[in-house]
Amino acid sequence: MPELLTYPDHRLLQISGYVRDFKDPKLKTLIEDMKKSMEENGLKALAAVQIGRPIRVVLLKQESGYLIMINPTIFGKEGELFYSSESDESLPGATLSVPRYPVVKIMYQDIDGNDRFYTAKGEEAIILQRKIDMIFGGYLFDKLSKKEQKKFFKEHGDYGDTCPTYFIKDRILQGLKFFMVLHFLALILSLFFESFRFVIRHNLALAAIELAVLLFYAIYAKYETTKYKNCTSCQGANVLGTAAMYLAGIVGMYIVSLILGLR
Amino acid sequence: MARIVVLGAGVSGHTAATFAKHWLGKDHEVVVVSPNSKWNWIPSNIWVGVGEMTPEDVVFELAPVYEKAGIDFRQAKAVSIHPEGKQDSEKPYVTIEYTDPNKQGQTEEVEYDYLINATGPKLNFAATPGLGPEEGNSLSVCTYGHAAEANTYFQEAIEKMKKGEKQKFLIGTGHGMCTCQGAAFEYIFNIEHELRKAGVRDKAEIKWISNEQFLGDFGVAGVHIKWGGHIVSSKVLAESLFVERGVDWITGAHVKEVQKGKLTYELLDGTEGEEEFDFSMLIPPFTGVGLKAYDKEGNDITDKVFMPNGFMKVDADYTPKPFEEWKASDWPKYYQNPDYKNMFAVGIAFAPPHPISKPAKSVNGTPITPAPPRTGMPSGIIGKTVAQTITEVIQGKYSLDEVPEKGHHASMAEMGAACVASAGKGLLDGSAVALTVYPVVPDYEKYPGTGRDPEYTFGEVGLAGHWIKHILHHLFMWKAQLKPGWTLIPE
Repeated sequence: MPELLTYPDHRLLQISGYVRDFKDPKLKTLIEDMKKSMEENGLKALAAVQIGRPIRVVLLKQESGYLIMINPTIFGKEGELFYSSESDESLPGATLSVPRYPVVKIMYQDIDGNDRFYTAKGEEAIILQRKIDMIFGGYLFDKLSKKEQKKFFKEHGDYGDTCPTYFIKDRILQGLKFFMVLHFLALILSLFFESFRFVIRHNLALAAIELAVLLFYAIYAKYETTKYKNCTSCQGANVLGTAAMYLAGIVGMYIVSLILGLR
Repeated sequence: MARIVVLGAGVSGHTAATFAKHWLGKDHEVVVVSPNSKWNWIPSNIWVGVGEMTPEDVVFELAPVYEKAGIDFRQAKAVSIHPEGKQDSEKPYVTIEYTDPNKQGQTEEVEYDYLINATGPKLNFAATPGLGPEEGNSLSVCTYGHAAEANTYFQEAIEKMKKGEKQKFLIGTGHGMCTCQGAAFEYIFNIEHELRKAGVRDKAEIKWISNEQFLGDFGVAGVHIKWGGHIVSSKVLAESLFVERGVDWITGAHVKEVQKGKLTYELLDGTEGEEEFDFSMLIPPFTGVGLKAYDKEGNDITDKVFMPNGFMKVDADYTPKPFEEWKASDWPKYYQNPDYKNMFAVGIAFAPPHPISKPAKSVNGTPITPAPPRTGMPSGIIGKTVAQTITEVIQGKYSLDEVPEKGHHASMAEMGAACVASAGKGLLDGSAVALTVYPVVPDYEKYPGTGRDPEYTFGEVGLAGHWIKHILHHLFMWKAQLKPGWTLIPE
């Protein structure tokens, strides 16, 4: 009996690929495995990825038997978007409110590769939206706002390679920020007190120190975030964007100091 | 002295011409034939379409740039290709018709040693009855002129809403075989952003209509991004964005007819529908520009040189085959015409072997499948690669027959692309989706399943993306004007 994967198993959290070979006997075996798993666990619907097979197959149990949907996509919907309170065997212990449509139009292929269409309504529409999301790598928590998502991760744990809450790179940045704030205050005070004019005399040195720290931040941030492949806030663009903002600040203060020095 | 003639001065043609001249210098001649006097950074047209940029911000005059570079510029449209020359001359040539106001309508034969077809597409509004600005029923952002016109109507709509009138915006694709869903996606979210800025969002109903099989397909079978800490399809991202911004959608739709204030469409399941609108921007399908080809005796060989959709045949595998049999190797590598080895086609002008998205037909047999995009970064890379190959052939490093072994290659199935899709312009409140996809064309053999390499998957939504998009605008305008350091800026 194939294992029913649950969050935060990494085999669950992946995008399923297209079924391209309908003659592959493994496809029929997979479908049989999915049926067994559904019977065993009393499930109404199942995506193949839930048993560790990242292939675009979804099964729906109906009174007349199993509706086998291969490569399904939702191309249409009807009715007003509403928030549905849902739980799923892949996320045990979680009930989340997510946006859904009351009616969805699905295009899929049958076991022989023929195009088919299905209009799902009510409970079927909700469960099929959830299962089709899964084959595209989307889970209930992906439909939450960032704030709600944070709460979810706090309650149910993350899956190992999400962003840690503590980064040394952030501490470096905080230090730089503190230094730059002091620099800025000293710059303002230099307008009124001679004793603060040292910031203008040592303008170049101060800017060089700030630039050196910023460069160290950029290099260290790159090193520190390399291991967090799935962490959106660790990506190069963020580090680059942050460094660019601080660079603008350093250059700005340097120019202001130069102007003040000419007075 | 060899002569390269480049037909078209869009992203790929301009890149090919400028790099070829840069590498070959004064010893060889580069001629550019383009009906437009201006170069247009098309990705920024969506900002012209909402009034955040002027047409002048996204164009520049080509003649002075080409004069400085030593490129012979003819403001004309190509009419026909004669790859075998004519009866009294072996020399291949193209016939051009001037659009330059000083020579308007005059024709000329321009001989070539090497031809790069970079004509881009014809905006085929005629494919859908009533579609397009000329018919007066829907707008476009495909050219800077169209985008400026769209902005005029957009500002009028804002004024109406300020007076309390409700307006419905319908944006997307105007035919079942369109490409460029990305541009329409950017435009709809920029419209939404501008309406919020204008304080009239509550007066607007905004709806997406496209030929994608699912929301977030973008004509490339979807892209994968890191979202909430794991990799998801752009379907999940797009659905979330549409819900967050209150934008409704219809996908799997072939627009059948556009009339004043309404359109009719057919869905994949064969059902038909009607949508009313006050403002509509619908991207048209593309075809080739209608170039003809003739042999030495003057016989029409257009079918030999071009595919039925008007795009030029290159070294792709055009054997019709089902989705299940598509391979990365179907896609061209060298962009060389198989019959006339000194002819190449780049950017939108080359004929793709098949779509990238999974093909679909409605139950009535109407094809509703996005055509494959060949714009932006890939088109620039392809232009530069072909210029490099031709340069090396001219330099005698290998012959035209040896291009498939020794030439430079840039298959879209081996190439990654970075894309920054704007979702609203503003220094502090702008946003964009920045993502990379590798390869552009899925390689199902190398990466079983999705056909894409998850290691090269990157995606980010936010303000930083907008800044990148804006910086890219200035960077590419700088590069295209051949200002200092232009060769260092990537495609």
